[in-house]
Amino acid sequence: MTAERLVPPPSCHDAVGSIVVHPKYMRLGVILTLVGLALAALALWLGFTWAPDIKGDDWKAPEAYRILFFHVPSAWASFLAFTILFVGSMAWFLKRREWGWRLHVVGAELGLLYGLCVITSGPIWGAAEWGVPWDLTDVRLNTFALLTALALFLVQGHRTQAQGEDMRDTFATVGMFGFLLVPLTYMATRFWQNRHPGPVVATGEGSGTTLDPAILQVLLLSALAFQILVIGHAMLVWSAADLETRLNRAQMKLDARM
Amino acid sequence: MAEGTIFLAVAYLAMIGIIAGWTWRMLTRLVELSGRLDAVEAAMDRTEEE
Repeated sequence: MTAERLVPPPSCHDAVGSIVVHPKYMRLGVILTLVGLALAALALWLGFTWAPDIKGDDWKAPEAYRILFFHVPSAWASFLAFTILFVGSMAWFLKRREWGWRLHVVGAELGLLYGLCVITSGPIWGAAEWGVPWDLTDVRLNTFALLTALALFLVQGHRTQAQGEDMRDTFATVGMFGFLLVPLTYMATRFWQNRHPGPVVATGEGSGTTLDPAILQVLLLSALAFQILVIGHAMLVWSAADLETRLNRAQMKLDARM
Repeated sequence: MAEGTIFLAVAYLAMIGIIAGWTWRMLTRLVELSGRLDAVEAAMDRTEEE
């Protein structure tokens, strides 16, 4: 492949030859991020003031259950980010699309961000409820940790490795095959439930949920907030990558004139 | 009871800190990159005029 094929078609170029992100998309990214944060804050407030306590002898630390209002939406948000990573990796690897590489970078960054939220809050809840923060025999815990480690590997790799076709191919391949962990993680508590609780929404039985209606409503509001937040964050990462490309090319053009 | 509440507070502090810190860092980076791009483009305009 020649260097020219790494550059997007002229229809989406600006004066210095990079993919153009119109400033309004960057503003939209900021707005969606702020809306997502506001809705997440509202869900958190409702989760602490409106959602009922849970009772029963089965729970060792029933008050800690409210962790789920951010923990579960973070996990769903990370699955969206890993889907973005998968689509981007495929588009780069199979079609050599520049936007595919951008999506790959966005997916890896956000997969790491939301993955960190999950693997930070999960063990804290585990320490409260189980008495131990981690269980190496639980498939769900381990596959999700692997997913987050994969995102960390990609983000670190993007920052430290020299840009080139071989580098992109390598990381795109990791992104594509790493995505296999997403359905495995999602189904893990259905096939091999050990410590991690089973599904609370879309259980496949009766009403489809085992949650109190008020808890479910807050959880769904929080999930909506996090999905909006992922889209807003994705637009911000995309905009930053675009500005960096434009800045580098403008700097090179300026240097050539001097 | 109190112990569970402490775990809950620590978990939320960690999650809010991660998301807020990352968002702040990204917004700061966007402002910085926009400023640097404007400066380079202004310098390009000046060299064209000369």
